[in-house]
Amino acid sequence: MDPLTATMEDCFDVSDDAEKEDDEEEEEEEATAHLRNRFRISTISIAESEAKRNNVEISKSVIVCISDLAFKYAEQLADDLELFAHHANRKIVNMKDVILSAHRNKHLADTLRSFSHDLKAKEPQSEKKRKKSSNKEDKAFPSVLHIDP
Amino acid sequence: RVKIEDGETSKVEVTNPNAVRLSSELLRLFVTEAVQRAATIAEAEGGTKIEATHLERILPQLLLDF
Repeated sequence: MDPLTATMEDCFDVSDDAEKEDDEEEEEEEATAHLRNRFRISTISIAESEAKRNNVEISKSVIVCISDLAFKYAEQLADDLELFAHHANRKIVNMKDVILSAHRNKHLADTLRSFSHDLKAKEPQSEKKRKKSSNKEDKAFPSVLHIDP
Repeated sequence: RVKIEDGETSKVEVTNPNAVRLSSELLRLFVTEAVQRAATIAEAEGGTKIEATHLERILPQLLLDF
């Protein structure tokens, strides 16, 4: 399986400099390339299922292009989230930070907000009242609060 | 389909798992929008295959929306 190494560079100029002397930089490059590949795998499955819904085919190069775009977007997103969390004097990035990063698009923000409410509702340990009688109940109903991936 | 994402580690920081799920949903929406919009253009032109030219046309608005 080698769709991952297909080069399509119409949209992107990814030039590999062979001049990197630092080992650390090389490791970072490898880690980045590894992440990018994993991104491509996920993107392929998402794009294929979307394409089936519309009964259209997608060419490989387009998928790789979309995946690299999403990767760049994810990098920017991670930077933004770090800044937001730091701005709120926190060390842990929250769901609120993610919703804030989508503030420019109201529809998007609302979608994310309702998705986040669903996630909160699924949390098994959100209520402290359950501690007293929870142990027996949890063993009796192990699958009720299972989060499906 | 949850994409497992490594948060950037330039400063010492961790991410709450729900936030990771939410951001992977965001990225999934990005990919979905891109495919859907490109598919619309491809169909409008009467073809059944999404090509790079279709992607080109929807790119500016997509980047503005996200």
